[in-house]
Amino acid sequence: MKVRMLSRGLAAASASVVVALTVPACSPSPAAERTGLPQEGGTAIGCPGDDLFFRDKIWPTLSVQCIGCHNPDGLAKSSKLVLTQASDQAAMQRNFEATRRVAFEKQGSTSILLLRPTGKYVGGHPGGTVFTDSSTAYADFARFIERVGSDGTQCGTDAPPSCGDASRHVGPRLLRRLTRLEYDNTVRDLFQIESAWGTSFPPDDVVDGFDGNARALRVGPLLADKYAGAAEEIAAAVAVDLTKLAPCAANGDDACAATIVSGTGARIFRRPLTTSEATRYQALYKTGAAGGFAEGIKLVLAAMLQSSSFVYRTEVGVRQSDGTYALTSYEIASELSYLFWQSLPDTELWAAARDGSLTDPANIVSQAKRMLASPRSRAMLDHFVAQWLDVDRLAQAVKDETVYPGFTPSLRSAMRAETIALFDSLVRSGGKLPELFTAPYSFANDELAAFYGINVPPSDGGGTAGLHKIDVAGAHRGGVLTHGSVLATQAKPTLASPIHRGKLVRERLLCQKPSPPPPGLNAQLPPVDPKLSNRERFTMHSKNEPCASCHRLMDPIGFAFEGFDGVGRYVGAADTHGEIVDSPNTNAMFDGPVDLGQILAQSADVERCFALEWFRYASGLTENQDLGCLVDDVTKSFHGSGATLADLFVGLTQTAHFRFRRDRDDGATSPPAADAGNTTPPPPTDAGAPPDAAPPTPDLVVARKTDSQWDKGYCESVSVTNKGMTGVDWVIALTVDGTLNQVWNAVATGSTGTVTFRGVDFNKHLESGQTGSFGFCATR
Amino acid sequence: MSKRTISRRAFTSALGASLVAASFVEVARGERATPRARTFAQRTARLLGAPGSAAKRLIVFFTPNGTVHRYWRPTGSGENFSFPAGGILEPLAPYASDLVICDGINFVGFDNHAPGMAGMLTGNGGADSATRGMSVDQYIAANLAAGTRFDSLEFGVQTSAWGGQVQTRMSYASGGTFVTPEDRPRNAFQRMFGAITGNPADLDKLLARKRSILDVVRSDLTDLYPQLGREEQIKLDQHLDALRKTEKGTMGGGDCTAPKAPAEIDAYANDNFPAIGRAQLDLLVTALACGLTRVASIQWAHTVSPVVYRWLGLSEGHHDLSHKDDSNVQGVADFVKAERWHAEQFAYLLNALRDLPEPGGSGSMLDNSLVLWAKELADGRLHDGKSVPLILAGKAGGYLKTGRYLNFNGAPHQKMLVSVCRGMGLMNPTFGDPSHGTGPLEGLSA
Repeated sequence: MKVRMLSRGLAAASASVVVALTVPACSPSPAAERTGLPQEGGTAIGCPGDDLFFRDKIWPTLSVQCIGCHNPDGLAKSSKLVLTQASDQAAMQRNFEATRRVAFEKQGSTSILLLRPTGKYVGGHPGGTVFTDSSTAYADFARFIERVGSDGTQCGTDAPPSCGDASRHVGPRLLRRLTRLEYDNTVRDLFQIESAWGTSFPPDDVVDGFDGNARALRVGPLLADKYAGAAEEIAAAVAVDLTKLAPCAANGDDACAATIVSGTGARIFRRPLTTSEATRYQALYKTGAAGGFAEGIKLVLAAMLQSSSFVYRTEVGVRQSDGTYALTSYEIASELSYLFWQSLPDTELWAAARDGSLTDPANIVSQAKRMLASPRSRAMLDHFVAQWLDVDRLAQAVKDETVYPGFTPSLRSAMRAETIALFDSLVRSGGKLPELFTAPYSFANDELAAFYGINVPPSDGGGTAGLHKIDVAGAHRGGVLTHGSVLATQAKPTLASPIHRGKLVRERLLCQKPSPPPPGLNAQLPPVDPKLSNRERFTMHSKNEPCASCHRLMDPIGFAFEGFDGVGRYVGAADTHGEIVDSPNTNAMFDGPVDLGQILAQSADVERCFALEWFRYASGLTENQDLGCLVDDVTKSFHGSGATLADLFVGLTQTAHFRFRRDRDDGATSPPAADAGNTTPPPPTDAGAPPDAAPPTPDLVVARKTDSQWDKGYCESVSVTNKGMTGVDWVIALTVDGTLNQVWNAVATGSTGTVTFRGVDFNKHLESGQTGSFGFCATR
Repeated sequence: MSKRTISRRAFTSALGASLVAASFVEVARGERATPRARTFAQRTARLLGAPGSAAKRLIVFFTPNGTVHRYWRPTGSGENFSFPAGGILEPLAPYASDLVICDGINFVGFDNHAPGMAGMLTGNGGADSATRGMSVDQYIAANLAAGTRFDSLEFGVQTSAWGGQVQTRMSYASGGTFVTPEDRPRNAFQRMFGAITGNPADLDKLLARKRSILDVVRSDLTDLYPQLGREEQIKLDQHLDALRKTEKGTMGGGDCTAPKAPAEIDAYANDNFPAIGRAQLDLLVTALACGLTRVASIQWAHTVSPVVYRWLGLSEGHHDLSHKDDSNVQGVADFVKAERWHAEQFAYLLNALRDLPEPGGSGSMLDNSLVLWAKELADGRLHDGKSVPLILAGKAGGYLKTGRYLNFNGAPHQKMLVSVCRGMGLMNPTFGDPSHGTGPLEGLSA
């Protein structure tokens, strides 16, 4: 199974041995692979504390994501790695020994303890990809292998791991494309017009439940088209009264256009324009002004709203002498405003950016506190909670009207309002995370209170937004897990779903993702007996291996919610006991979701998970080995505040990451120079023809096609086909008429006349018969 | 990577084709991409393929959550087959002579919802494979040199309530990036026909305006480019590619006048599913008939689809229905009802293509199309990949020998993807992960 999505061309490194050896998906490894004995070279004595390292760094992954199959009764019971529940020290030691033995098994030069769970082992891994090679788990496993195979000299000091100075914990430089929501908010705040254009864009890609992941948010052909259409319509709407942009627009002329280009342009780009940008847009204005001032301005606005300077928020910075990048004060202003208000900086923040005071950490914090305290942050808190707890699906969740009559749209809205109201009130009152799970009160309007069976005194003033603060303890509720929003979303059209409820707790509150079912799994279910309770119905999961190994992580938690039906109404149940197993710090038994809430409130796992979820949401990053120390800083700081919610939200702005970044990977900031060793040398030619500026690789067939042409320039698509019998990194030389002004999917050396092109990482290498393509535009 | 051997015949025909393409573009250089040039490109694209025949267009039709083979399989075999009464494919009976029902094609080495969705059209090719992680529709679109306004069009029916993620996407661009379908018919219409005005002079002005904007936008992008690290540069590479496609899309309105715009509709209301689907099917056929693109797809929901087919009297979500055990007679009957409804939508598509004559060609559009009905699972109850229900429709310009029910005895589905490429005139020897099989399916083509 190949590593999908986020593939970064790293797969190329380990795909070097692809043989047509197919292991049938659900059968044990062929006998020939089992050697039994570890390859203990005479010098592999390991490091002191290897078993402790195993317990702290490796067992957490094995015990949740691997043991489901790798146990004496599971699918992998005949594999080389068979683990048992670590009920005592002896069992843990056996698991350590077993894992250590597997560490010594190599395929090529890499241990199969790394190859199998990353899906890179030539014989496959029925469990699929458990973690990627950029994950923290991978780094830990690699370190474990290093340690146990060491001759005693590479032991280092990794127990406990040392992250060093927090000022060095910075993440990568990023372009963060606006989400649909951010787009609408930004347009609204720029021009004081209602915006539904963003809502009409295709839904954003979602990673870990959040729609703001920097890597996933890109501009593809569909979105580029949508941007174009929306920009024109917005420009037309704004052009109705251009004096709102600048008073001089009443008698618009070139000078006024220049004022708007730099003034409004700066607000659109969220930073001042460069001179060349201002010139470019002024020239564009002149083109359009043939039809009048307003037409010229419309053209400018339509272009600006499609510009990369609008569509992406940059967290790119300026290079420092130590190789890190310091974010500009304008970038920090946008970081703050999009974090707390999901829109562009307000006047106060803009002024702080302009006068440079925003690079001072003290000013960043005071702005962050101001913005969190403002009512404008409520929408952001709602967006975070709705995604974190999955309740943004509530509005569209299908519910059967005969089974659940009267589950109206207004009731769904009330349920959503309840959850944000609780969360918001906790944040603003300096509340702490545990109270989110234990609060004996909530916020409901009349309809919802009646649905819950809670009497609201008629004299109650109505509270905020028509919501009363209600006492829920008497109604078998308490904490967000008993909110109708959560209960109804984690359910089906006709019945409640203990699996979904359990999965929510496991994934979003404990941050432990159960593995997907392995290939070849028979997922056949028996008929549903309507007389049975959910617990009885789903017993098949807990009785039947291999289902049980994963479902025991979820179902026993979900059974505690049996007293609540599929739309979140309390119906009571005879048996609501539940259990959390296999979590690092939170194993417990409990009775009902209120009891569960108490347990979660005291859990270090839940506290850390919440900080991690906030980090993912706020930074747009998926944590990996590069960010482990930064995530540690954030979670430690949250713990230090006693899990105060507001402190977590503001805390991220106090990290070095908020002001500095560094480049990941190669970090090339200029096109690579003509390189040596990347091309196959041309075969010996006869004396005549002198070599070209950069000799093209032989056996390449090039086809060029003009895609478009206009007065000032043209664009071409070029395909390069390798007609040779061996793979090459291709290099070609083309005659370019005019001057290149953009290139995609290739790197160009030169810009006019004879220009050399070579591929980018995903198309630069062509196997025999393979074709790569790129394009360029040039002006004449 | 192990050396792939290319058959000598494929090598030489591909070589010849590239030279033909090279000489064409030398001639065509400097020409504006007008409808005249587009036809020119179409003629050339035909030459790129195997000698003889290829389809003019590819359509991918996806419905989720596998099937129950007992109710899917025709009776008989080869050219002597029929659809049992009450079976899932019975609604396709009027089109039997235009179909190839494919049994015995497997997903090898992967199965289940998310891997099935990801591997179904990509053949599980990574970025390092010959097809670079692209799905077959995107690969074909990129390699056709079609000269149409859109390289491809992706239509969706409630695909994205959960956002874009591995369970809700079936099309992949190079490097494993999702290609997003358009879920709103009205938006799809706007994209296809929004630029149309009655007056050609107005249209020219509009197009010139769009181009001048795109020039500036491209300049902004290329200013930003050198300031970034490599990973972020890749994002801009993709953005530039998208801009190029947007500009191509401003080329003109296509070969027909715009039909009536579909009404605005709540794209995610469960009960609107059929109406949205119909509107999208109509737009898809229109786009192809008008020559706006040569590659189109329609994705009905997504794997684990929770859609409740209330218009059929059903009350459980489609995914739940796909998990009814054989002893649950009512449950399986409900699932079959839903699947028959899918077949009716497929029949609607085939009917529309059959009724339209091939523009500038002979026969019907269906005769010159290659339609693939794909699913991401075989038996939904088992989550497995053994005998994934795949149906090919249309004669593909003569490439496909239709009117047959064939069993491929466990062939890996990558071979089917290669066959689809062949049907569109492309000669690539592998598709996706080559380690389980290379080349096309034997016995499929005419």
